[in-house]
Amino acid sequence: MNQPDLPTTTTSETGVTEPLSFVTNTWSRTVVQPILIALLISSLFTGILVFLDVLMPDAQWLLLSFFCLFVALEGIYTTFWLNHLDRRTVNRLAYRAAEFVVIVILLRLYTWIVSGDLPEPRPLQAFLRSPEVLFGGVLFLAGIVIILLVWQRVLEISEVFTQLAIDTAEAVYYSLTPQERQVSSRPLRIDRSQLVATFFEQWIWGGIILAVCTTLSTLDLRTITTVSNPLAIGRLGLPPMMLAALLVYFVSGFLLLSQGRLAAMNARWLNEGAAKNAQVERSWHRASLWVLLTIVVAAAFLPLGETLAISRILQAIIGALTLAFYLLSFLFFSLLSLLFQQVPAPDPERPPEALQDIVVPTPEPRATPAAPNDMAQIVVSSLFWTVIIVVTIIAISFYLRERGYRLNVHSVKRLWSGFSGWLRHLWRGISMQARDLQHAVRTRLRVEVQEEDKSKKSPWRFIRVNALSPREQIRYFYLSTARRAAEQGVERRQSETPLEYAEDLKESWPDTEIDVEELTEAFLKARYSPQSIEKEDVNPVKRRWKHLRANLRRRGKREDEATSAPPE
Amino acid sequence: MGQFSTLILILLFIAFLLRVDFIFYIIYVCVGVYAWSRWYTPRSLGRVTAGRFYSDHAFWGETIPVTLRLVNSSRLPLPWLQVTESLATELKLGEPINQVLSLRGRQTAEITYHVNGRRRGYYRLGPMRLATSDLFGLMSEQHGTIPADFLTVYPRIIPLTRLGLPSRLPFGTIASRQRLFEDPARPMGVRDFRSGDSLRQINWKVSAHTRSLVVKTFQPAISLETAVLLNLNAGEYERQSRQIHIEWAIEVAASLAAHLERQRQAVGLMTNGVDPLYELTDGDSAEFDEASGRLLRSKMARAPSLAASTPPAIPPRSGRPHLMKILERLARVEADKTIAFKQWAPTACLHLTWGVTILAITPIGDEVTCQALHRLVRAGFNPILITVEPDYNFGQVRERARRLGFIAYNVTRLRDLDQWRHSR
Repeated sequence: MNQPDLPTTTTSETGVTEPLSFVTNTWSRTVVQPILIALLISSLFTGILVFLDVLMPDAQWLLLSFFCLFVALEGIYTTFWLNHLDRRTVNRLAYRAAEFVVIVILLRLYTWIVSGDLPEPRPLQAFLRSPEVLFGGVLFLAGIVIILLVWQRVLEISEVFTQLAIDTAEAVYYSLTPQERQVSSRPLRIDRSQLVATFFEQWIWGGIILAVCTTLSTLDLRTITTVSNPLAIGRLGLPPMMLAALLVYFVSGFLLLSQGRLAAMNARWLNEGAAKNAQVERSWHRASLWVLLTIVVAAAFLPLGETLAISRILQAIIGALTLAFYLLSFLFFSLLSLLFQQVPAPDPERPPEALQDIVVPTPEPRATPAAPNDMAQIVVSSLFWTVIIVVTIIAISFYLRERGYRLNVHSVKRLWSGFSGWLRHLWRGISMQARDLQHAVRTRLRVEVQEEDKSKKSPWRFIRVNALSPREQIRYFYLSTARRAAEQGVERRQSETPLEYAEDLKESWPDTEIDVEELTEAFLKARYSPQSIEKEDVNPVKRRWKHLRANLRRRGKREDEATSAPPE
Repeated sequence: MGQFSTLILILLFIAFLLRVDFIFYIIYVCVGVYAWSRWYTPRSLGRVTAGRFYSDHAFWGETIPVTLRLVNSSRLPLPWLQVTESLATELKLGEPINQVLSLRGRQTAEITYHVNGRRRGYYRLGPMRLATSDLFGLMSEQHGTIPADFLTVYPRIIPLTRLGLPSRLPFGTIASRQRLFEDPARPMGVRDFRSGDSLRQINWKVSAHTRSLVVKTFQPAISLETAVLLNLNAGEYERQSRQIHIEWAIEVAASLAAHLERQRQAVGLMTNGVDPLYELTDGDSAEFDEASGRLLRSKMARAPSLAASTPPAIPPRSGRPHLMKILERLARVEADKTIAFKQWAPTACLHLTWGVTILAITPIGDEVTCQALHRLVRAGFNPILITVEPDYNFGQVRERARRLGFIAYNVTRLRDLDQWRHSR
């Protein structure tokens, strides 16, 4: 071999490389490809959104492009995530449904936020009565369709790239000798070249759609009705967003094409048992990027539009072809009209057919709109909201649960037990207060009845004190003391508090001062304090009460004797 | 690719007819990538030069490193290049060469692999196939081929220390116990003069010193100019073990030739086998066995007559280059149904000088073979019969050979060579 005299570097190759070098690069797989796919799809739909923006400038269409990017990234990563070996058992259809519901919910929130139309408390009640308001807004409804299309496209392309990628199991299988390979572990045969061709076809058609949208977005649609020649429609400038979308779409498409081609070649080399130099992959990425960047930069310096001579020549050719087409059409239709003129005209002497009686339709009575059934509306809307909430909760929980955000049942149980304990305690306090209130009401009513029937009926009533609760016993001691004191002339006024009444009692019977103070204090505790009162607390109060009762009895007897004795 | 053209046509239509200028830019990018792929890919492969660097002759059992050198003489890099080297199964050592590599601008890459000469033959290394393509799949794969090179693996050579073959030529370089041929160039000592000794052999200086006549004694020597007569007529070998015994016969011939060359004796080779390379004419291309990779006898080149198919004799010469020539012939030669030994041997020895030792290596020593050798004896040669197929009645053959004036050996396995391998 004639060795050229070149300043060369020499690389020694052993011919043996690691089979895992064929596994698709993690960086490409998890970062570069997702970003490129997301850019490709979002730029395509940005083009469509730009056209919609030109068509209907009132809606904020372009704001959806950011959400498209988000949905694209979400869809790609979910696809990659679902294709992981650990998630083979996940129900994909259900998961995808949940994912879409989550996306729609996020879209609803996004459209509300970007349009500044967040629901306020008062319209919230309106939502409850008329749930169709949830689906209101052109942006949201059209957004669902666009997002669905974005999502579908992203899933398809990311699935293509997932299938293109070589996983470790496949690399290991083909690194074994044919004798060592087991049929059970043989990877599925994938025609990767066909996959690349599929992607290429989809990309081309996407490019055509984008080009058409570009053209339509430059048309001044207001002048359509005023011109007869479609080529004479007024022109608008190309929106910068469309310009960016076009550039991003084609550049990212070429880069993805290169990535797909590399994956297909890797699979072929692996299958053929070729040893791959580690530099190949790096060199491939670098070369494709440089080639593309060079061409993109070089193209920027080339003349655009009608300044080119070739453009003028081509325009002249197209004009000539159009003229020829018009001439041919004119000739064809002229001949056609001559042909039809020779067809005999209908006989003018032929009597016209009797016209059928025209039946004038009588207008049907307009149905008066039924008065809206408010109850039925509430039921229907409640059902709707229930379904929506249940579906939302199921979708979000399924979406998050499968992603590893699992609900900690133990902590929830603990929280629930704490919450239910708090509720029980609250309920007990409320029920106790209600009972006290009930008791107070009854007591008041009884006092009133007693006052009314004081002259008629004896107030005597047998009460088994030990059967009462400690709290009730103390209250009983106090109230019976008050009753006895009232019988002896020291009556408790309506507006008087227990402490004020205790002052009256001490003033009337100074020797009972300690008993009155302790009894009053126990009563206040039993009546107003939420603290529990034990049986042991009752006995000292009971002794005070007995002592006071005996004192009052003695005073009563003494007064009776004084009143019954004949005056001296 | 049709879809890509459709895209460009639609873009052109939009750009020209609907006057969207920016579409021109997209067209430039698309056409630029396409043009680059179409233009650069074939040229990139054209700028790659490749070659093999190795020793094209190998001894049996020797491992030969082969280096493939790939040079990218372009300034631009070659992102990927698949190199596939075809290799004979008999030579393979390790994994086959199927390597994918990238070459930077003006970079040289070397791939080294090893081949092992496990069997004598004339083998093909390569051809080497190169493949590359563009990065975007817009261009079909481009292929290039580097033509094959060849490797000769010599037959196994068993070192033989002492053959002990008789010779009729009086002078040579091998010491002999036959007193008849004393070499005056090899003085060995002196002895007392005996009646009848030549006066020219008297050592006068020693005689004067000892005051008695003494004569010089000389080391006897023979000249062993030898021709190896290798019978490769396949029909004379036993069918069942034909291949084994043919290979063995060739190994014996190679070992004898190597030994005689080492003894600085002239050795030649005559065979009635077939040399496929000799049969090839200028227009023919060599055919190689797909499985083993060895050179095959070309079907097109089969000679019409049996005698014409045998390669020309290599006359006895000494020296290492001559031995290499003999070994090359022995590496390539194949047995076939050619001319029978009894017809071929007398004609093959016509050009030999008188007294040459002829080592006739044949499968068996039957009567016909012995008669053919006897004719050689009568013609003044010194034939020695070496049979390579086992013969349990070889005593009869030996006796017959003795009566007909030559020696016969039965060498059927390596152990039978022991008599020649160990020096005393």
